Amino acid sequence: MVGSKRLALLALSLLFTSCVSVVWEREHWHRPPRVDPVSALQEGDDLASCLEVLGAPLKAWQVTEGYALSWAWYDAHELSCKLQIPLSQNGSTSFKYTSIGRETEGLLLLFDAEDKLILFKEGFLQDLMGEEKGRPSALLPSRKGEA
Amino acid sequence: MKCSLAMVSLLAILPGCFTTRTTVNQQLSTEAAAQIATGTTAAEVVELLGAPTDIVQLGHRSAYLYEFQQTKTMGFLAVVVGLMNSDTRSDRIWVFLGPGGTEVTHVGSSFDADKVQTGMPWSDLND
Repeated sequence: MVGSKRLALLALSLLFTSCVSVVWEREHWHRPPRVDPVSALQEGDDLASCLEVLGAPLKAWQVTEGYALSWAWYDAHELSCKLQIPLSQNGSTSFKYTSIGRETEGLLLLFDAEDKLILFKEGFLQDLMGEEKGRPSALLPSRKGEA
Repeated sequence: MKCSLAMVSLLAILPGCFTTRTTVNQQLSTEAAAQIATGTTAAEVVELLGAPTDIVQLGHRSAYLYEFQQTKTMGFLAVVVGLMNSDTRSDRIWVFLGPGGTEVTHVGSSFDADKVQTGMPWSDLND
């Protein structure tokens, strides 16, 4: 009798563990530059001084006649709660709530072909990349007459 | 029978902790990076640092990326609660080469991979 009660208690505790779960996750991915770029940089600065101030970028890519460098970082949170209720031997219903907070912040620097800083922006990377992608590409001198 | 049943019950409800460390690519040498300066040839760069992680074409120029990434994750799993926290940082060296890709014009480096931290989700891991 005592043994069967313990078995029932064990079964109940195992059932409970499968019914409710709460998971809290956090993810840090890189860090912002130690120096405030707004006060440390200005248009016309050369590549060497920008690298000296900000360190190595995460990405570099060609943009029309010049190129772009970017730094990025985030501190993401995810909290999820799940409640699962068995309804019968073959079926169950569940409710899951997840809250995710993740916005990648970044810094975007555009340089011309002479390695001079022509534009720098900081903010959410999605917005920055949208802006950068939205910039019309410059026409090559040989193609200007065709346009 | 009773003893083994108690043991199984105990193991079922005991919390678990874990820490993991994940790396991507080989660690970069700060000494080798310090030897790269304006005028160093591309061949010397490859001799010092090995094959780059990535090569980017920037018009008539090119740039080599060397990257070592490290992630530390810490987790706590109890009966119904899971807590996890991960931190990723990297060592990076960008070597910018001039037209033709023969000589170094600029170098930028950051060494942060060793600064990864572990903690619980409520821990502030910022520097």
